Amino acid sequence: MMDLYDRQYWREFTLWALVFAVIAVGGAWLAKPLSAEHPLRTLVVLPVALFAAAGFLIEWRQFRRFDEFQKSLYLEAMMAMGYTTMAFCMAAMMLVATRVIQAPDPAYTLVVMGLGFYIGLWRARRRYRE
Amino acid sequence: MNNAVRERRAERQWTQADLADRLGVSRQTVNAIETGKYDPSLPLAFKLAGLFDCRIEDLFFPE
Repeated sequence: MMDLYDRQYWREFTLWALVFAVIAVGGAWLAKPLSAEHPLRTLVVLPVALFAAAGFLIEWRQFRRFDEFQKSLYLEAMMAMGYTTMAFCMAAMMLVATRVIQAPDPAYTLVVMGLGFYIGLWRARRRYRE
Repeated sequence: MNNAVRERRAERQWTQADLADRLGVSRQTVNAIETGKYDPSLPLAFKLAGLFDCRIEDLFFPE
C-alpha cells in the first residue's frame, strides 16, 4: 500500500518519528517530577506538540512530489478520512447526548482519522497497483 | 475514455517506465492511463500528445 510514498518520504518520516519518540519520552520524563500546576510543565510539553505539528511538513512535501494521479488518490483517502471522522464524532455526540455512553477520550478521534485514511487509501490505491 | 497510449508507446518501443520518465509521473500512473483507470489532466494530455507528435484527439477518444 505504501508504495505511493517515495524513499525520501520514508527517510524523513523515520527520522521524524525517532526524534518525536525521544522528545515525547524525554518530555514525559522531565514533566513527571513537576506538579500539575508547575509553569515549567507547559514548557517541557510544548516541544512535543510543536514537533508533532512538524510532521505535517513531511506529509506536505510528499504531496508536492506526487504526480496528478497520486494526488487524486491521496485526496480520495483524505475525503474518506474526513467523512469517517465526521460520522464518528456525530455518532459519539449523539450517544453522549442520549447518555448511552460517556464522552470518549479525544485521542480516539486520531485513531479514527488514521483508520479512515488507511481505508480510503487502500480503496483508491487498487487503481494504482499494477 | 479510450486511448491509444499503449499502442503509441509500443510503436516507439518504450516501456511504461520510459514514458513515465519522459512525462515526469510514476510508472503506475502511465499504467492507469493506458488501462483507462485514470483520465489525465489537459496539461498531461498535451504532454503525451507532444511526446507522440500527434493531436490529443488522435490519442484520446470517447467510448
